[in-house]
Amino acid sequence: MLPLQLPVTIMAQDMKTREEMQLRLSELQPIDGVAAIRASDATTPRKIEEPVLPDEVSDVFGAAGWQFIKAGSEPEGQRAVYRDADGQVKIDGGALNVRLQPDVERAEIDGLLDRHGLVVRRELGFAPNLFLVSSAGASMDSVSLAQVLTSESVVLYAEPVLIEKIGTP
Amino acid sequence: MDKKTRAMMSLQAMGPLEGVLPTGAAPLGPGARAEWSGIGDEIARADIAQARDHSRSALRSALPHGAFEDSAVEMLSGSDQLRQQLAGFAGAGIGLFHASRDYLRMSLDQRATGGGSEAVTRVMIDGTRILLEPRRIVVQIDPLLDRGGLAEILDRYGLFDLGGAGMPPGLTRLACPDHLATEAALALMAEDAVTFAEPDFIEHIGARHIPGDPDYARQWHHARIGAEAAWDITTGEGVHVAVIDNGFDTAHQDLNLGPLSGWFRPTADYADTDFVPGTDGMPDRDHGTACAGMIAARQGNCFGGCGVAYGSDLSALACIADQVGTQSTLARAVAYAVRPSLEGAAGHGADIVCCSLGPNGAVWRIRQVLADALGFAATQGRDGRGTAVFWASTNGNYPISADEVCSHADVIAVGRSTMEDLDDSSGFGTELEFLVPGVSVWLPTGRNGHASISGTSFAAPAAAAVGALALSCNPDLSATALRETLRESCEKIGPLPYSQGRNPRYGHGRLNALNAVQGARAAFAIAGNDHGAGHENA
Repeated sequence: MLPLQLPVTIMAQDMKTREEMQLRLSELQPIDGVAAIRASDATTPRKIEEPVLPDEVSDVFGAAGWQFIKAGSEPEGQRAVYRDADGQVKIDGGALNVRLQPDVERAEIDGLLDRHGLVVRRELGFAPNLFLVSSAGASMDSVSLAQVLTSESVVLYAEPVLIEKIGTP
Repeated sequence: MDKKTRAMMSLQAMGPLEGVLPTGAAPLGPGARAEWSGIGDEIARADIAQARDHSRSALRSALPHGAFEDSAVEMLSGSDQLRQQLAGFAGAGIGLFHASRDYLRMSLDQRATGGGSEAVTRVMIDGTRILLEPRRIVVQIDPLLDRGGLAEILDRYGLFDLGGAGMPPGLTRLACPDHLATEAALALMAEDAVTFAEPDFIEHIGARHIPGDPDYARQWHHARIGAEAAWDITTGEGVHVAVIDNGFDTAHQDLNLGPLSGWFRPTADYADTDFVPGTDGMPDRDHGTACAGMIAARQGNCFGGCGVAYGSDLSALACIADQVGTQSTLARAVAYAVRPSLEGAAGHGADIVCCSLGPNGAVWRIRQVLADALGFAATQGRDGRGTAVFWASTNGNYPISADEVCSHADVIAVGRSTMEDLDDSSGFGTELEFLVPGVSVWLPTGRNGHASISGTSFAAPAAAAVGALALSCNPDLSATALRETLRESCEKIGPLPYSQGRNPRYGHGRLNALNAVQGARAAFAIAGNDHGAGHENA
């Protein structure tokens, strides 16, 4: 039953079904052998030997301080890199946006997140029970975690925070 | 919207200034003419107290004892536009006054014998336009109507054909001795054979206020979209526009950034951002500066040109400064613009949001968090009336449907048009709302500069500014109604045909600011709001 305070139009027009959300998550394809790291965190800055990312992609992210490296070549700080269904390269932001059913109490939300090793980082107030969450400890596979959370009955959606090109086209 | 509907809405939007009448336009002696000319000069330089006193004296000379209660100078001096017209009437020897009850009961002929006007039944106000209503109507009749049919219509409404001498082809004048011309014109338009009808108003047509900013002549887009005519009615006062971009030159002389301005600074791990209120430390970027300038660059500051809605309030929201970031941040920027308390700030949200950011390429997957923010703007913005969100479509010749942000149901996707009023091969499809000038437009850029630049990035803020002009005239318009008003304002440009008012290359056509403002005002009147003096510019 829809809670009375939830704008119906948001649910009717904007909310994708659970299946659609899972499909979108599955469309995020890891770029094998490639990871991203903040250039300032790289201990031995080097590019992957066989360029699989066009220079224009490397240059755009490079100008923002990101570097693409061979996966596993750095001890810390490297992040997964994906190609989305729109063809864009996106970096795992290390956080998730999670929205739960509006009638779920905060204690239950915290409990659910805790079971998955997550903590609330920020409550986004423009929709009921919409949160930015991140790992309570070790780094996480955001896409896999989003897929697991999306299967929870009280979760309306979970999606990884992805770092992408959003500029002046 | 057809001509008849537009004419009817325009007449319904205006109303009478109750009890206000003009003096007669009979030839004045040199002394009287000099007196009124002096009053006109005083009004023009806003010396209202002197103008009021002198007009009282002139009215006492012109009218019978007890004919007027007071001069109307003070009431009609609240804006540059009104004063200009009052001064114009005074220069022609016509004074406006508050008539006494006894005088109002007189017939027009009786008034004329006592210095009043035999030709003008009422003084009407249409926004900031003062219109003297005569006993004449200008009509356009279906050319296929025969003389017998015309005679029948005229007889039905008590009208007399004065002929079309001196009128443009297809138009004729009718006398309406027994009815008020505005009501008669509205009644006449119920006839299928009447294309439109309107009173043959007497008005002061002064020099249109053209901004004197030094670069104004380079800004061809203002004239193209009818902004100059729209500025006779409003420049966007009372409307707050938020523009979201990578950064802004906050010290630019042509920008006056409002209190909602702020920026999103990445956290150390880049998973999130912190909101920083104000403009200190805000990233400085040419692109955002131009977008902001298109909306509300200052007018009258002897620098650059001016914005399309130069009277509106403008706030700059900077995010994703290095052009790499998250849709979560973009969502927060949209939501903050709608409700600043979400980021701990005070104040009301913006009335309109504009954004010209996107990926390289035309294909863009939307994250649900951004969709939630757009839905929030549409349903929760402006206390439930909705906050309109304008977004630049792809610059390339691609279907907008591939961009899930621009094609979101609550986003108004804007394409660019040229100086020649043609489309410029930007995004197309059913999701394209309309075209607005966005090629070689002269706008503020970084380092306090100006440049000629092109892109849908600059068409979208121009559209947002036109939305601001419309909202200024009708603040109660919902976001949906505003969108519809803008659609209906469009001129059908281009060689390709429109089907049901649309073409995939042009959307609903090229936006027209004057039509948008008039449409908003007409909707305001139809909603049963006070005609009054409309929205007056300071």
